[in-house]
Amino acid sequence: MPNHDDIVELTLTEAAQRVAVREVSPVELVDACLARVDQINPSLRAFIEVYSDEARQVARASEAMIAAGHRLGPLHGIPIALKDNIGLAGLVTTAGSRVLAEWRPQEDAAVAQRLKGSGCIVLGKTNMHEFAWGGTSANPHYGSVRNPWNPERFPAGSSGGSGVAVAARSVYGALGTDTGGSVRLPSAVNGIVGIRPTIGRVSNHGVVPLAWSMDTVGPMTRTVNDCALMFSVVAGHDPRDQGSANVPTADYTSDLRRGVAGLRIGVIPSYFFHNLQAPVRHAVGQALSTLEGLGAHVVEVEVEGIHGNISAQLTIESCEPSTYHQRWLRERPEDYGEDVRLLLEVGELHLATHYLQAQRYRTLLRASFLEAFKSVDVFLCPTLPFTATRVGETLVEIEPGAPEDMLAAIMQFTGVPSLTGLPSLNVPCGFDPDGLPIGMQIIGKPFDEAMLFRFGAAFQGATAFHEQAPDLSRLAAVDA
Amino acid sequence: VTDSNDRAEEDDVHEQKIVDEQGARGLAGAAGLPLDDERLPAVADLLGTWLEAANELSRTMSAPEHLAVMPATVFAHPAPDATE
Repeated sequence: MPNHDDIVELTLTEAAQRVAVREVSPVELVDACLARVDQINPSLRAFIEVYSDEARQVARASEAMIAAGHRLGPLHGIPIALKDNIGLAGLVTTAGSRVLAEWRPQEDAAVAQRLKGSGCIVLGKTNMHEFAWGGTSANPHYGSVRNPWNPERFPAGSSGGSGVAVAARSVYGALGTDTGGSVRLPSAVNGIVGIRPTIGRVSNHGVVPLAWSMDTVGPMTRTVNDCALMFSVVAGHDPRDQGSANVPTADYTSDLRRGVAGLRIGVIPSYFFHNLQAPVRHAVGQALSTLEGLGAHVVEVEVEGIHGNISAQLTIESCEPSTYHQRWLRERPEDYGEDVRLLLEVGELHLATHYLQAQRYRTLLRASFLEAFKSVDVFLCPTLPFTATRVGETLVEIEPGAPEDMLAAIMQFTGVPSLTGLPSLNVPCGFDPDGLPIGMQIIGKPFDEAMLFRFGAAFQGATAFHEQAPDLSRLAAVDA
Repeated sequence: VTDSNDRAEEDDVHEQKIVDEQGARGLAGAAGLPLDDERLPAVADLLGTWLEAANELSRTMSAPEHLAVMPATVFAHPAPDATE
């Protein structure tokens, strides 16, 4: 029997294949993952709740089913985690808040239903920025999540716990939610893969909202293949979600070996390659060269009006949460962390015309991108312009000596797909001199997630960034 | 001396936020949002920064060439190859 460390190093795809042929049992997977959770969680605070007993019970049932020749689906027996704004029936779902500290949903969120239906075992709920309204995962109620590559650094957010749980090999995949970048940012900073789907592609039913018009749910995994497999399970129409799109899905693993020869990559130098830390610029430049070496063509493109996106994003992402939280903000303001309380208060004081002008801007920006997609197959850019900052920082220096507000700085590239509703995939593409991961963002046409996975798989076939693991021996020092 | 006075005036203008604490109190009152006095400086500061940018975007979107643009509150969800 392989030891726990070997078991957690399997990719999700490898683990699923080995369960299917009974080379490894779901019980072994769950035991190995729980041992890793015990190792990391005291210092990294990736999980808010761990369902050890329940997961072992389900694992034993999964094992019995496989022994009887019955496989629930492609993820049978695979331990995963859910961000704690994704509801599970009868189990506390806090959304990282004190406000919902006692809330037990009556039914599973649609994505949880789909994953359980495919055979997944939910190991626990992951920590996050309170109510997903922020990009650091510094949570005042459940502890600040820390980065496994360097526990003094932040994991980004808001799905920071999911990013850390996957990067530290405590689960084979996790779900995050992405409004302004909350899947892609922690994926980039933790060196893993994560997708923001086309808006409407994955059901939001049963997920605590942040900003209705931009919210999405997406898988976070170590490889593109794993992400495509998990995405194939969660994608699809759901009539219970008013924003759900009735557009056919596919087996997103089917195009992974098609390569990228002849395909066109759009770059927007005037926006996405401006104001970057040098290691990020270098890593993404090298990634473009790698893809060119695989036969893709890089095309410089200008997209009209792209520079207004930060203001539009902050306006929308400020007004919509404040609307949702209006009653709680009046009845129990002291239950919010200071940063989120301030954002919610400010969001109440925008003018309606500002909100609607921002929504009109989205129409314009989306039209500009759809026009640009006539000459390219994807866009490629850094996911964020800097690598992981220190835990607790509220300012970031992209250019030395020029501190910028963290919230605006961190969302400046991820906000573009969020506003336009376009799908976007983070893929690890390098490390800075301090060994901190760097991610690139591949942006696609509406509902063309298959193309993103195709590019990502081609890149991972030619590089090994995704095979590197954080050195968890540093955690002992943090615990001490 | 004149130059430094000019610069000081420019700095004063630059420092003037479009929302001060009194303004934030008024807006919160209009919204029915109770805000204690100690919260006003932070709210006014962040709101002022964001509203400046929002006003800039509003000016852009008010241009005659954008008059027919509709808000994108709901997307049409076209298929990947559909033309819009």
